[in-house]
Amino acid sequence: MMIDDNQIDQMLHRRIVERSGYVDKIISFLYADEALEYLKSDQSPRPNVILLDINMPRMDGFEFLDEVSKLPLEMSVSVVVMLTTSMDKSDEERASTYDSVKAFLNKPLSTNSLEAIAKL
Amino acid sequence: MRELEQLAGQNVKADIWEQRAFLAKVTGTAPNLIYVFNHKSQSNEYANRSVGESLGYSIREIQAMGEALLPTIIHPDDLAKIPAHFDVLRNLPDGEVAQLEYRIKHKDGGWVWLLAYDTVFQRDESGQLLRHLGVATDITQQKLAQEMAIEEQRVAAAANEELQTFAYAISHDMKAPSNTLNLLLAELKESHGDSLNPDAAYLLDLSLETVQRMRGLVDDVLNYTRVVCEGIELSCVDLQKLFLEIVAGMKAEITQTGADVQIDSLPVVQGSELHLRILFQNLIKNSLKFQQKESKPQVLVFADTGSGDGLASIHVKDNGIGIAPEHQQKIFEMFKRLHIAEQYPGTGLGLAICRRIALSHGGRITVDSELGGGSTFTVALKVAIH
Repeated sequence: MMIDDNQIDQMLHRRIVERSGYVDKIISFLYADEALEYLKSDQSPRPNVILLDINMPRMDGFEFLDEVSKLPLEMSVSVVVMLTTSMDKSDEERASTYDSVKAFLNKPLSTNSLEAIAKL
Repeated sequence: MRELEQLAGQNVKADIWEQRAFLAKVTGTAPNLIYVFNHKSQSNEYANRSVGESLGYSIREIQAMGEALLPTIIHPDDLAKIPAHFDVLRNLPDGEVAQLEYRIKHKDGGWVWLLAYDTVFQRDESGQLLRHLGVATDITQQKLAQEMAIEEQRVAAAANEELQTFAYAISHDMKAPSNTLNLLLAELKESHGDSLNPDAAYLLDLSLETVQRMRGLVDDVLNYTRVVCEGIELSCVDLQKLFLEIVAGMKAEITQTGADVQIDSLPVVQGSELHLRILFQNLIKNSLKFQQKESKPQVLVFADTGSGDGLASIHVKDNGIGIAPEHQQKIFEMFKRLHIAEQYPGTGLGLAICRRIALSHGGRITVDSELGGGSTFTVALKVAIH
């Protein structure tokens, strides 16, 4: 699952992900609250990994993580990768307080970093 | 009768004894310095024991310094204040207190700040000041805290100024490369657009779109730092005239959106014309922008001045998409946005600039809105005094 308010970034990330061949299907959302609704519903497929942007309108990445942590286990996602435009130390520290956040990466996503995510 | 007199005598003795004991207790317990200074001999004749404690000197040492006391232990910069202070004391009516702050040398060489409360103690036969009594408090910690606070404030102000200059320089210097990049991409499309395959052409268009967005952001940051950095020059601003000018300047956007903009009668307020123009331009732009697709914007600007606090409320009311209550505070924060760029473009700085301007004018900006029910932004500004 990909959550990013920037449509162009999302399109480019989709291209990189598809090129890598690690991923079968990508579900993308421009708003985090809409992604949250998807997780709450019984729609499938269920995501294995979420690529999560931080700064987004309406609900930002951290607010999304707070909401996800309230969900019952079967609705939740165990691997979240946070994507950021600027490597902000305080953001990184904040991200590390969430168990589900397994990586904190600088945008743009590269094939190398994707390989690392695939190993998680 | 005699017995009675004897008894009275005993009572007087007891009173005196009690008074002495009381005085000894007070001077011995008080953390202050208590002293008597003789203006004829120009020396301290009495000091309670806490002089020794506080400054490291023994009472004997203070007395031994005699006439050289003041020049020896008072800070050279404060020594000059003493004659003026003594002049004040010489003219001081009985019962009144004169204050003096000065530094005095601790026996270990450090400086101790004292705040003295001096009062006339005894006069000579001609009524001239003979002795003054003083109570001095050690205010060194207070002074140090004060100095530290001033220094911290100075450092913070310098850092703030540096940051403002930095933000201005960054946004200013980013303008040139973003313009150049825009030109490069436009030229690429112009000269080679025909030979690009559809995917390459699509990517090029997105690049152009992105660089346009970047230019918008750079412009907004530049405006914001300008508003923050420049001091405002207050004058009388005729809002009626200002709004008509703003609307005239936005003619293209108004025609394009088919908007109906009504300006009611508006007051003259105190403010910077430039800043108020930026503020209200932003509000009108938002009213035109945040609309349902295909709906024609209706904007009404009106005022009320009846609140009695010297502020006029200027309302900008629209029939747009409205703002949910949980987002109504957020929208005034820097870079806070409620929509993705494709839905409603923007930088998240417009309302932050508006708030900044309203506050720097001693006013405020608020919003009254419901989702789907339009928004009314209200700016309170000081009415011009005629």
